[in-house]
Amino acid sequence: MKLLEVKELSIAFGKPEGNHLTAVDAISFSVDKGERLGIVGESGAGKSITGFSILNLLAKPGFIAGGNIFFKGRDLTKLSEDEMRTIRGNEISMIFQDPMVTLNPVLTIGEQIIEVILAHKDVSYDVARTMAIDALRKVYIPSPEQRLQQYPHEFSGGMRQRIIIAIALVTSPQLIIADEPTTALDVTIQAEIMQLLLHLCEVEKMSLILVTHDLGVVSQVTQQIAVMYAGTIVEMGATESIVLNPSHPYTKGLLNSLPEKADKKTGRLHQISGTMPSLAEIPKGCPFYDRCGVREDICKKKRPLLEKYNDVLMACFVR
Amino acid sequence: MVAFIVKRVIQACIVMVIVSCIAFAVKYSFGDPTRDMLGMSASAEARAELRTQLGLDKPVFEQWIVFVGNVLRGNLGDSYFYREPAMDVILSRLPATVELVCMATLIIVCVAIPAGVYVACNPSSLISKTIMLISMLGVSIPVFLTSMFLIYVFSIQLNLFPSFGRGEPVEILGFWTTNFTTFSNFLHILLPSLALSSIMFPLFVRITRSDMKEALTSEYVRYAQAKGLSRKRIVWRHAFRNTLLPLVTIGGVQVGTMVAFTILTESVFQWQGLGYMFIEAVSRADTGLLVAYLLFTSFIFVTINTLVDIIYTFIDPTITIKGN
Amino acid sequence: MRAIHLFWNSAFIKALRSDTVASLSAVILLFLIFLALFAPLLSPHTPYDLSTIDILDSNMPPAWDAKGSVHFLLGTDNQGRDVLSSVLYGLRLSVIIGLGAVVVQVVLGVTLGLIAGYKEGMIGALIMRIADIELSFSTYIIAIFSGAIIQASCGIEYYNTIAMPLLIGIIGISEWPQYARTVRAKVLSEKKKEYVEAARVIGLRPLHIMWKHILPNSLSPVLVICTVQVANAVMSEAALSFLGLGMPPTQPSLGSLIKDGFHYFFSGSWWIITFPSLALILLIVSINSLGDFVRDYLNPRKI
Repeated sequence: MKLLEVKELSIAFGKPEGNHLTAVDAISFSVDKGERLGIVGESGAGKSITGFSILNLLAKPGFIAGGNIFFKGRDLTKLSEDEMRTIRGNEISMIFQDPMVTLNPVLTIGEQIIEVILAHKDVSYDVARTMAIDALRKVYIPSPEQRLQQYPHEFSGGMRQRIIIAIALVTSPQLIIADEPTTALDVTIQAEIMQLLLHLCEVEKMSLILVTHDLGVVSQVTQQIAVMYAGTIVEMGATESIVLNPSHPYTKGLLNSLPEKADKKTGRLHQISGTMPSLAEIPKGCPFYDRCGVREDICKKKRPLLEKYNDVLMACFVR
Repeated sequence: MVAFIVKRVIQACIVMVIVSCIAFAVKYSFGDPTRDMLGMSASAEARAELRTQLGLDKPVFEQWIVFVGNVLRGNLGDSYFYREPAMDVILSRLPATVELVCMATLIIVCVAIPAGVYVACNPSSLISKTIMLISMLGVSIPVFLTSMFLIYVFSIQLNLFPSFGRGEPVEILGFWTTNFTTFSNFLHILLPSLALSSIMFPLFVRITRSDMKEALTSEYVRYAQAKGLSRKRIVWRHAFRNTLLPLVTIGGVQVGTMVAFTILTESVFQWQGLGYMFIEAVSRADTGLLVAYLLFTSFIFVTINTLVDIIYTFIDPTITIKGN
Repeated sequence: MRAIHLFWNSAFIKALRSDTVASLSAVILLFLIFLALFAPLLSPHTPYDLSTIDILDSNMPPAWDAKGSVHFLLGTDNQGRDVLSSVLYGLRLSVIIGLGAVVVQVVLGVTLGLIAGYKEGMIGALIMRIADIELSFSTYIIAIFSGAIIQASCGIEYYNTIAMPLLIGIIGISEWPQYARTVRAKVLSEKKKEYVEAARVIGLRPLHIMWKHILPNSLSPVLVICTVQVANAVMSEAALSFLGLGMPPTQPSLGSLIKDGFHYFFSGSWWIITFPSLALILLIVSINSLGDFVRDYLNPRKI
């Protein structure tokens, strides 16, 4: 049994019974125990809300319009709010994008770590405090005892993201969902935080879903990659296969636009021309049709399905 | 931090100096104390003598210094009607008003703020809509009409509460008269304090609601949800804790408004407090007492406003650091 | 005709028509203003004319009561004055004072706000400090104190003769800081924009820039404050009159009528106080809910 298995998950915005727009369209993927999956795509592709939907934390008016999310065999979409609460922060933790706004500004760091332990573990306050100190130590926060009494604004962005990682780890979850964990940080700190996260996942044998737009980061951290475009997965497979030998024209474009691939002579970056269609105007056929360099007539009429191609899965007619 | 407190206190002092100038101007340009003290029939010589005695022949600035000196020593002049120091009259009426304001504040804290939180959490429920309707009406109905309405319903029709007065307040500690020691006295204070709180109720419901709404949609609340915390903890510890700050500031500013409304409430309920005393002083043209009231309430306002600002820095962790 | 047609189909009126509560309030408000404007023509009696008042008519209940009379639809007060006429005249006074006070507030607040925003530094700082101090006191208390001081120093007879302009002045002066703050903030943000810079570069005088360029851009928040302030001014006037610091009994506004009626309320003459109270509440509720609508219309993002 896989640790997490997402089947035909659809997410929409609007009223379930009335007008709504589909943002994620019947996607499926899975994560094994100890495995790290990267979900990659540009903003608006639906990758972040996919992450949030696993914990049933979609901000209104978003809702899960269909499909199942099996976590250790239980369907999370069928759980009550109370049952869901015992999973959030306990068995599945989340790391948010912007550490500057994620921590509550008026509560001490100590309280924000300890509360999550007390909410899920049957331990005394003193034990929880010791656990909190250990967790801070693990993310290399110096003198954690004193730091517990401080407020978020007394920490830098990188330090805050470490604290958030500590909060995520302190309950020893089996899965961590990290939503763009380094995007809001200085470039110099990004690698440091990513290394820390990778290291801790390996040591604690935790699974990770890394949601990001940065293929470079994903290729260094994860074993599997799912590339999302306009609410669908267009290519999915082992990191090596995708990074070294991309199949889908969109993945090719993404990899080509990395700084390393810049034009040798002019130093200019490659880019994929055009923009992703908005939710309201996703075409019936292939969503990438307008921007695709190898499109054919069929692409406009029919939507390609995710099917096996070499050693990956790909949704493209042009093979 | 210390610099901030010093700055605020200096500001408060400047305001009080301005108020003292106004009070001084009122007292010495509009009322003739010699007439008040000697009566209309006194001879010109007797008046002149008294003027010298009182120092009224000195330059205005020196008179002002004397006036401020007296005020600082707690001597706010005399009430022409009661023929005793205005400060004594004020102190004897003070407990009634303080208890009224405290009771009204208690009602606001216990009812309006939870109501605002409830409305923010359940915006579409029927109870929320009722609360919003009441608060919309509350803004639009003057407090003296609310007071009369309460008297009509609860005293005249239902006969549950006394319609006016303080009853027989008990003196405690030798200087304070209280309505909280006996049940019948407590009944006396309920309607006036309810009327007084009705003024602030809508405001506090609205502020609590909009701040809570903002807090509940914030990223840190979403994160708290992702941590699997209970709804109760998210609402009260995470979201409400963040709305406390604006509530305290606005609460502090509104103390001023409350004092203004004690004048109206007390005059309807004939509640023997400072507001009632003020209205009596107005109708008796007791300038001495008016000026004393002006100085006294201004002092209370300014003190409370300053304290609120200082307390604010203590509860907002992000301000504390700036002061350091 | 064309103008009416354009007005009726303007975006604002369309939005108003689609909002039931707001359009109902607008209708009520227009009706009340109509009553106030034409009070001398509409009222069956003249409450100021003592010769028409007969003490024998005093304390009559409304016409639908068995003891009532068709001459006095809403009954009479303790002096035999027709309550309906008093309410109409009182409404007129309340509306005039409310509007007058808001005009004073706007003129004072906008002018001082423009100056404070355009001339930062000493003058601007001074104006804003005064505004802060006024705001830290309650506006009500400033109005009540000013009224009390003036009454105590001039004597009640003189106070009564100048009551109306005085009330307009007092309420106007006690509420200007809000406008000044808003306008100043707006001026400061507009000043940084390119069109003001451009106007300065082509050599327009500061006064011209303020008047023609900055002011029109600051008007919508001012309008929002205005609508709510009319209600507040009416309430302030009622409060002052209720305390005996407002309109005299010979020329009663709604507040003074309520004050008079209060004495007879407990002896059973409920109509003396009820009708002016209803008129006052209706007036304030309709202005307030229209104010809410204007605020939402001009600034849909703010809750």
